[in-house]
Amino acid sequence: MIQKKICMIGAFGVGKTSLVARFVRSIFSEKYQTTVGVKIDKKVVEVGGQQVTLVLWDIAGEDALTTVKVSQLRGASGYILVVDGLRKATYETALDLQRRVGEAIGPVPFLCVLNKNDLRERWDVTEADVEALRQKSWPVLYGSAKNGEGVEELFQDLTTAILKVPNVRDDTAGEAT
Amino acid sequence: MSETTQPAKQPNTAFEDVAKLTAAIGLVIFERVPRGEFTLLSPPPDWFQSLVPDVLTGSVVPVLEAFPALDAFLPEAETLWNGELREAPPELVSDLWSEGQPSGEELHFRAHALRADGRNWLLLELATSLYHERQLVLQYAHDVALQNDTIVRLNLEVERATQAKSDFLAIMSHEIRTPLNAILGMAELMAETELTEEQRKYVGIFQRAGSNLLTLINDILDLSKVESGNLKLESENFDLFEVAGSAIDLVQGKAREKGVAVTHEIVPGTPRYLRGDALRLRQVLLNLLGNSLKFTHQGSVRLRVEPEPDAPHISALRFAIKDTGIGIAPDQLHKVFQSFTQADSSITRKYGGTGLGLTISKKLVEAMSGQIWVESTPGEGSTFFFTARFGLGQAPAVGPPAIREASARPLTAQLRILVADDSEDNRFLIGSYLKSLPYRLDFAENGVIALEKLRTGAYDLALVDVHMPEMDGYAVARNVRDQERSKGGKPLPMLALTADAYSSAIEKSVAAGFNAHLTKPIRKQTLLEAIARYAAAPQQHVAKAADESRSLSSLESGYLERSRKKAADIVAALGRGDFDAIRTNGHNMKGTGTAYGFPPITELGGTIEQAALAKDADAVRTAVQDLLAYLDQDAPAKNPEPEASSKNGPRLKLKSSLRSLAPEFIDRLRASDNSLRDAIRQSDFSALRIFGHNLKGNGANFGFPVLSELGDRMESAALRNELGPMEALIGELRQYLDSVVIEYE
Repeated sequence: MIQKKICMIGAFGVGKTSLVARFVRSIFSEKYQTTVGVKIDKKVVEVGGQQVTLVLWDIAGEDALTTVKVSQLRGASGYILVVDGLRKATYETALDLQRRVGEAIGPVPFLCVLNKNDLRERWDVTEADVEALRQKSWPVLYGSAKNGEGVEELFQDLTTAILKVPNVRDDTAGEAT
Repeated sequence: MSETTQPAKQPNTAFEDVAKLTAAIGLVIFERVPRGEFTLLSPPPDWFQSLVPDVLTGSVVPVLEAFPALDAFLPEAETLWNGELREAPPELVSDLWSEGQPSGEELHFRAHALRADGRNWLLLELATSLYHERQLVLQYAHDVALQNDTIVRLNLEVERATQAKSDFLAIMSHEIRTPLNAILGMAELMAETELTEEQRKYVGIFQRAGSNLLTLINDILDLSKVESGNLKLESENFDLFEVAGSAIDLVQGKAREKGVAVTHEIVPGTPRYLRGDALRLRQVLLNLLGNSLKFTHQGSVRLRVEPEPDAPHISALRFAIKDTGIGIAPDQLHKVFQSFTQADSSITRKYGGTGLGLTISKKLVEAMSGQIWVESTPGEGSTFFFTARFGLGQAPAVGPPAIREASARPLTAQLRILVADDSEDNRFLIGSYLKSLPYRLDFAENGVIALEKLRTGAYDLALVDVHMPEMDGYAVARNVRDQERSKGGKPLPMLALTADAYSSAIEKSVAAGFNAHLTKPIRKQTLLEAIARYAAAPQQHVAKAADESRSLSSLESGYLERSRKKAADIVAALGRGDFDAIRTNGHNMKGTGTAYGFPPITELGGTIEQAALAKDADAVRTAVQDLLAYLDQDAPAKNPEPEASSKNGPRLKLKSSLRSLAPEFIDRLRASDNSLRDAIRQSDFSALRIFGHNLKGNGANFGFPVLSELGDRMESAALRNELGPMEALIGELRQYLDSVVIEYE
């Protein structure tokens, strides 16, 4: 079976772990727990009749204390940039991270998800901000780990994009179909 | 040596013990054998089997595949195992990581790479408690960071809101001051005319209400400055005796009116020369003295200044203002320093005021590192205390400042004063203020003209508006001062005029070389005092001559006439593409229309100003059309022009409106004959070129193509410095002007 490494990237507290938990186990917890180091989850998805094992690398959120390590990104087939709509600063972090990740691992497919869409009325990130991302040709999705909105699409779309990349790197040595 | 092989040959019992032990401490042991393979040496505990099923002790495990998080660690461990590290540490430890289980459970790990006795080991440690410990620390740090984020954001919002409020107040105060200037000024002029008793009473109400409004605006502005942190305290040498004395002097008049004695005492040992903000100290003293006086109907108000008891520095002072007034009830004491609060709302009705004075005083005192408080007994009086810290200053080294020299001028001197202001209304107002005094006034409508006139040295004092076209007032002052320095002339007293009330404006004026700064609206009394202080002491004049009485309607019609001229200027400027001139004229009308009772002029002036800023010629044209239509319809008995309201296209409508201004245009041209002659005599080609250029544009705008063509030829001749053709052209112009008959004349 094909195996793909996908990294969850974003500022701390944006909901990376919650998005993975919602996607992998269909659960959501209000309790905030910070991720130490890396958390690995696996999930098999089917895209276009093809089974793919996603190895989800949930990387500790970036802030003044923690910096995303390039070594953790190595070999990723794609990544998800997570922004917390309630905190404009996480939008800025995403812009910065995208640039750095691009430099580190090259132009692999990515998606930007604006999380916490269930609290849209309190958002700090504006329509204009979102439009600015689209202007940069970023694929942008609205989502909510809390109610599950956009979560399936998020991983499906990214996997589809990854599979479309010619000469796809297959993380499973010798088992490519 | 033999011991090294011992562990593999342990009897079963010992191996089981080790197995129990490793399982109990959550450890899995691999030996890294060559070919990058890892052999499991310890018995697999249950949690391990859930991640890597079906392995037994002794089997080779695909470690990297099972634990992708070790992707970065294993190559690093290889350098240790291969002995490539110069100073090999006994072990390498990986970062913590977690593995999500299908059950939802999470396992937290840490890996250790070891090299011992020539063998290479990989240990997987179940590090749950360590993970949670680390997480708690991080979570705490993140909570703090999140709170910090929120605080920063809220601060930013507050800052933005305060700034917006501050800007709004600054703009509003400017916008209110400008018409207030006209209201107070006219009320003052009116008070000097012959009035019936009833009329005098009404005018008195105007003046008092206007003054109150002005005080209120100043207070609000002050408060907003303090609140937005825009208040900057000066640090200059000052004389405490002079500051205290001048504050007392200022309330003395009011005190005498009320029959209340105002005294002050500076306790011996109080330092006289200090460093600090004398202006703000005086403001606090005036607020407190004024407040005490307001609530005292008999007895006294007494100011006492002394070093602050128990303060480490001698320059920390305590001020006490003790009155024998109505006093404040104990339960109201804490309220008196709050904005818009007087101890009892009935006080506002009885005594007036907003209660802002004490709030501002509190803020100012706090800015001077002091405290303010009040002690009071109802019926007996109150004592307001405040402390403030100053630096120790120096006594002035020389005699009285240069300004004092000027005041030594003989009282009878007929002062020559230049008034430079681009607003005709303000020139008119100042002219009216000074009309009955023995001053010889001269006017300049822009900075260039002002400077030219001042260079003649024919003036004793100059009143200069800081915002003027061509050259602003600051530049005028700088030029004058430069000239004085190079020629060693006696400094000309110069007073700046502006509607900008911020202290930065005052600083700017002083930096440019002005002696003082008068903020619009300028009261007649203030102006006279300033002139007396900086130039000479004028004699007291009680001007009640009948010729001074001006009916409002004559003021109005004069204003309308000037507005028509401005409209014509705008059209002319439009021809030249001179948006600066358009903006200045628009701004002027915006500021004066309402004051003269013509709000539409203010509104259209504003529109014109905005359009000029945007360089939108069409918008200017439309607004001028509207303005002309309004002026045509409103101007009493002034060239009623029926065609002005005809519903033609914009251009035609403009032209038809403009035609009503044509007679004025022609008159102005006829009046320029002398100056043209002068220009020819002096070979002033620059003036001739400008004249020609303007004639070219205006001629076309006012519907005189012949004049436009003449202007064009004059401009060209001036550019070539040809005097002969120029004379011929002026002759032609004169001939044309003599022959022209305007049907509306």
